[in-house]
Amino acid sequence: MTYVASKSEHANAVFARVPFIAALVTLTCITAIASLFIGYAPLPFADVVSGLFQDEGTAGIIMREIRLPRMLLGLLAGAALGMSGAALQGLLRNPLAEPGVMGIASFASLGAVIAIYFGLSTSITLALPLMAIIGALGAAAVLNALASRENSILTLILAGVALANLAAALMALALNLAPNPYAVSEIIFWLLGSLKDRSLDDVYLSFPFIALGLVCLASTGRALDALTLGEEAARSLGIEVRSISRRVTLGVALSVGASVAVTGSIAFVGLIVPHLCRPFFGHQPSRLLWPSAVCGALLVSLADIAVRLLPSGPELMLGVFTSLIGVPFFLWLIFKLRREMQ
Amino acid sequence: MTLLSLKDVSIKLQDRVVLSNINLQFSAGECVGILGPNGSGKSTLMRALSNLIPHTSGHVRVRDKALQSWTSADLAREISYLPQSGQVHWPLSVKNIVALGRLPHARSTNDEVAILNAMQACDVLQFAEQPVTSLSGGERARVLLARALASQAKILLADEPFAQLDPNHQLHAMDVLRTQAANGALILVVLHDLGIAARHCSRVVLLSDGGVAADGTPAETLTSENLRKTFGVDAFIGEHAGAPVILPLRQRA
Repeated sequence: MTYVASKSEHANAVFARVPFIAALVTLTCITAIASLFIGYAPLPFADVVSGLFQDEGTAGIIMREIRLPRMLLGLLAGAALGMSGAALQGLLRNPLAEPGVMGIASFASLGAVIAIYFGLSTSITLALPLMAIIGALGAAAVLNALASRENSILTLILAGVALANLAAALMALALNLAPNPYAVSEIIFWLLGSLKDRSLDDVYLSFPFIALGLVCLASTGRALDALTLGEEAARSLGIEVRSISRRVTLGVALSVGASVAVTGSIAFVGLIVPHLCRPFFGHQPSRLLWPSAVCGALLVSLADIAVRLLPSGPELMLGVFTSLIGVPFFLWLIFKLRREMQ
Repeated sequence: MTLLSLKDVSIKLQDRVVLSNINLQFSAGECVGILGPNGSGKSTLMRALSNLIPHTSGHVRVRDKALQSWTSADLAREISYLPQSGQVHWPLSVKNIVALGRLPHARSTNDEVAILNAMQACDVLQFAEQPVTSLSGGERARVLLARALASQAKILLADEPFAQLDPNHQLHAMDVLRTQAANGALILVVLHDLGIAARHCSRVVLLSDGGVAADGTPAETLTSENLRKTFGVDAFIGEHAGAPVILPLRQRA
């Protein structure tokens, strides 16, 4: 056993992942650029490029007001969902965890539903996204208040499940009491989740929250690694488990809250993405955070290209599409995990 | 040098007094076996000394500084705790698991040496790149012991680390702990095997009914009368090649 050999061995392990990261980033860039060329109005190549840099003219409007925001929001929302999924699976040490489980995404949806229900979204431009973000942060605050009484992650999960159900019940109540059918259809369409008809304002609004959330989540890597050994061992390694779960819930609330605020709910991305990354990046939670963000961005961008290309009458909503491909994956995952346990 | 001391320490768990008025002092270089029947508070003592649960009254001092006044990061460099549960939630490679022991330290070049030394000491170097979930229970227990050693803390609290090990690796692991003690560490190890405690520990603390029933060298503490009182067993206490042999014989009525 020599020190030098081991050092290079470690370096090899790190470098072994570099091609995967490079490939993932390249693929995501290609997909994002490709998505600019796909749309309902046929635009020649030159117009796509020139449209990005001009405010006026049809090409300019299509590119800067339709396709560019759609591409950017796809990347942002995907990154938020992907990294949130990876961080939550690490924190809860459960391969089936995702932002929806903790009630944070549901409360973001609830905030948006309230904005639609009371007509705030029509009178104040940013009311809907702001209410969604407030909903997510509120859920995170309640979760942490409930969980801080006990130093246990199980409490956090149970509180999250309770919150998710509460949000679902309140949304059903809103639909039940909706003043008119337009409100109902608006709420339902919003809940289905889509990147359609969004503007650069949505990008400007969500970007700072998502970026802050991602930074917050990325800073928990080492602590999540320690949690691999269980809560007590992690605490004995000097990890403040309570403050880590607070940081993860805050990061998820900021990033997923802001993403739900502008896209509606896009299911299963947070669940699936870490599993797609594990064969390439290993199971260590810290090594999955950024790859999951990139992979989430890739997956949402691909899905958003798919809904535009699928020959359905009205465009298939992105959230519906991800659910349709997500559920079979979820079942496959359950069977795979069961096999591994046996 | 006293590394760890308990003065009038009592611990309540959910209104049940688990340990009361414990007074103990531990010094560098000791390899202390903590023995006692189920429910006598061995694990509770370990968790309290790692500051995972609060002590209800009394004073615990680590290196002459009250336990509560240590920051968790500083304490993690002084005390390494090996829990009984043996949980590993993700199939990380053995080497990455052992490397988690280095978390309390800022990343440094010593990390690799500490990790490899710990893996070698626990005889898991051959599994380095394998996922820990593919190993047997005993192999996994050795990996977790290596993780606890990798932090190079001065104090090691190990809660039944040998329960799943075969006789050969039990002896091997005990050797590892004794070597650590000989190099100036303080080892507190919860054991059930009276024979191993008698032969390999420099000191034995016998817990019973929430208190210290006996404290001293194995010969002083593991007497047939103490074993009868604390465990309710008769025991054959003999000698083989100059070292004690203890064999519990039958349960008393």
